[in-house]
Amino acid sequence: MNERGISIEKIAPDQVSRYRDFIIAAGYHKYSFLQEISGPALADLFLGEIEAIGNSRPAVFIAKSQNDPIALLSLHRLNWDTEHFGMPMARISHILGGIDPELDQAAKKLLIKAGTEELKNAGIRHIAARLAADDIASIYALEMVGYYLADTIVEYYFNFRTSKIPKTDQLCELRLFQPSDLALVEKSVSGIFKDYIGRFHNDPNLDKKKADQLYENWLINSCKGLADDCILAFVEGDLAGITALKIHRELNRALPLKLGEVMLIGVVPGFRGKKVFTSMLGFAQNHFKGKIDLFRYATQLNNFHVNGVLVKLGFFLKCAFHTYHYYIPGG
Amino acid sequence: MAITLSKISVEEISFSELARHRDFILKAKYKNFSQFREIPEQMLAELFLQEISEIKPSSEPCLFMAKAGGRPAGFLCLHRLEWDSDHFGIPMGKVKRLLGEIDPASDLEVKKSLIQAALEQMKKMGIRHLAARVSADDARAVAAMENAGFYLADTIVEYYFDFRKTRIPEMTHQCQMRLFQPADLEMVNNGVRGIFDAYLDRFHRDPHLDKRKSDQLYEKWMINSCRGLSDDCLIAVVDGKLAGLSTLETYGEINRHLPMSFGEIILSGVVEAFRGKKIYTSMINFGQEYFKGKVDLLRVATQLNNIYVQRAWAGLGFLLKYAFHTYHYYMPGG
Repeated sequence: MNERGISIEKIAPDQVSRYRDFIIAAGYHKYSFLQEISGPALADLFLGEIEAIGNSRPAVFIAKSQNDPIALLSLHRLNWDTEHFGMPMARISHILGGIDPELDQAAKKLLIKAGTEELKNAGIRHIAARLAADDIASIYALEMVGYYLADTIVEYYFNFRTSKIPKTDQLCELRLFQPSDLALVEKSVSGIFKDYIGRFHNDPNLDKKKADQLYENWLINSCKGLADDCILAFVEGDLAGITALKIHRELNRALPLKLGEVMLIGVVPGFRGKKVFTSMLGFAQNHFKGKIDLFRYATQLNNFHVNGVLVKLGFFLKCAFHTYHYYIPGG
Repeated sequence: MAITLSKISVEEISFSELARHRDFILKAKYKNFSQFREIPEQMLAELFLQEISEIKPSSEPCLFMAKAGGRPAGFLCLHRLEWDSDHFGIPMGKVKRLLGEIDPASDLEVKKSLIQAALEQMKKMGIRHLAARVSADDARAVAAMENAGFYLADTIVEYYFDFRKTRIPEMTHQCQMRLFQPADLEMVNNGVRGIFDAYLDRFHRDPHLDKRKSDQLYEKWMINSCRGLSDDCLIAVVDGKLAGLSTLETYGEINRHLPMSFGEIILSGVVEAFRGKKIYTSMINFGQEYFKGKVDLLRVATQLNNIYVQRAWAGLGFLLKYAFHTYHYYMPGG
């Protein structure tokens, strides 16, 4: 127990459901900005996520004051990222809190310290944490422990229940990906994400070439089945852009609405500035119509062109996140 | 004063020495207004020098140039914030500009060295609270700030309405709007109290600053704007009661240096009892009409997580054009 009477306990992931009342009352849940989702539904979603990371060596820490839970942190190993970057990587998947404003920052700092120590002891060298831009207590706590800002993400939503899809000029040929397109995609994605402004590219502790390849691999894997569908854009017969689309079927079972999103989008450098991006997004809106209620598009805050296109296509800004990284030299 | 970190040296320079490094200023990134590609680098450089020269001597500006391999590689300007120091009762300062990106390979170390020099200078000047704004694009400045112990205080988004390309949307208003008249001052004085309580800005978020003084800062700013600090203020009135205020400013000196003209709705507030009635959107729409024919571009800025306001702007035809982070550094003591 520290000087402010906060104690930190590590609990087994399968014991988290015992704290259901706290989980319902706690702030900063994923999707809490969607007001139509009730507290119990958010809690179920959270518990489902904890269960889903069961194969990635999860750990859960809870902060208590006078024996009552006031904050919680969960973390897990990132198997795919670890293999890709060649160093052990992990993620802080949840930081819940906001129960006691006086103790919130101190509780989160202790949780982050405990989680970081746990990961260090497990040989992890790189940790990522994403949190709402208005979760000031977590931001300060992460910075105090030594985490650094890697990017800022804004999430836009198109609401099919309240908005009409605007007409867009299609200046390229658009169609869904077919398995026979795979060789063309594999040939064309090289360099598509070079000097992208994502959190991996911004991080001086990560290899830039591997950051490029991460997105290229992601796009190819999307075409191979990771995404529900991919859109291909062609200009004069040449592949000009690719968009990976996902409907969150598992998540949608826990939510009172159906959510889909663009997982990743890339325009081949030679075709930028020709409205290929806008055309693909307009095609995606029509593709999703009737299948989902909300269409999410997340991008970096400083991707100003994309922000402008989203607004023109009827998307609304709904929330913002900061991604922090932590690096442990060595190895 | 000279600080050396590996092959990078930092030295304090005078304004006239800075002005001689014109090639560096032209090449360096993150000058004010550099998000507008239609502004030639020459003009941005002129504007930059103008900005630095305009810092009052009483604010004790300190200019630092970093050199890598003997060549200019980065620049930082630090000065005292007299008004803020007086208001919060602690000596406060600001990093006015942090330029760099001359050589990507050494840029992080250049920025770290400049920030280290700024912190040393801050101690010498007895400054206990330092603010610095860095472009959200400038990942190396962000890394250098955090490495030196600065903490993220807020993230600001800038939206612009382009009168040259966009029509002002028509809307019906549920309030009366007009420009402030001196006779309104008493109504404003009574109406602004509490209008900025628990605002989401960098002062309220900073655990080292007094929350009540942060409330008062914006109230004072609003009242001072009505007293002549800004070009004009607009007031929104519902049933004879003050419902909201906005301060309006046309950039005089800046517009003389640039190929297009700018105006700004600087500060807006809606009285709590009138929130949720689209008063804010009406005031911005009134602001658009006010600036029509006077400027080419109208700027508005807010905190990243002020989602409602950004949605109102998007609905009125504003586009996100730029974002920056504000970092604070606090030195306990006193």
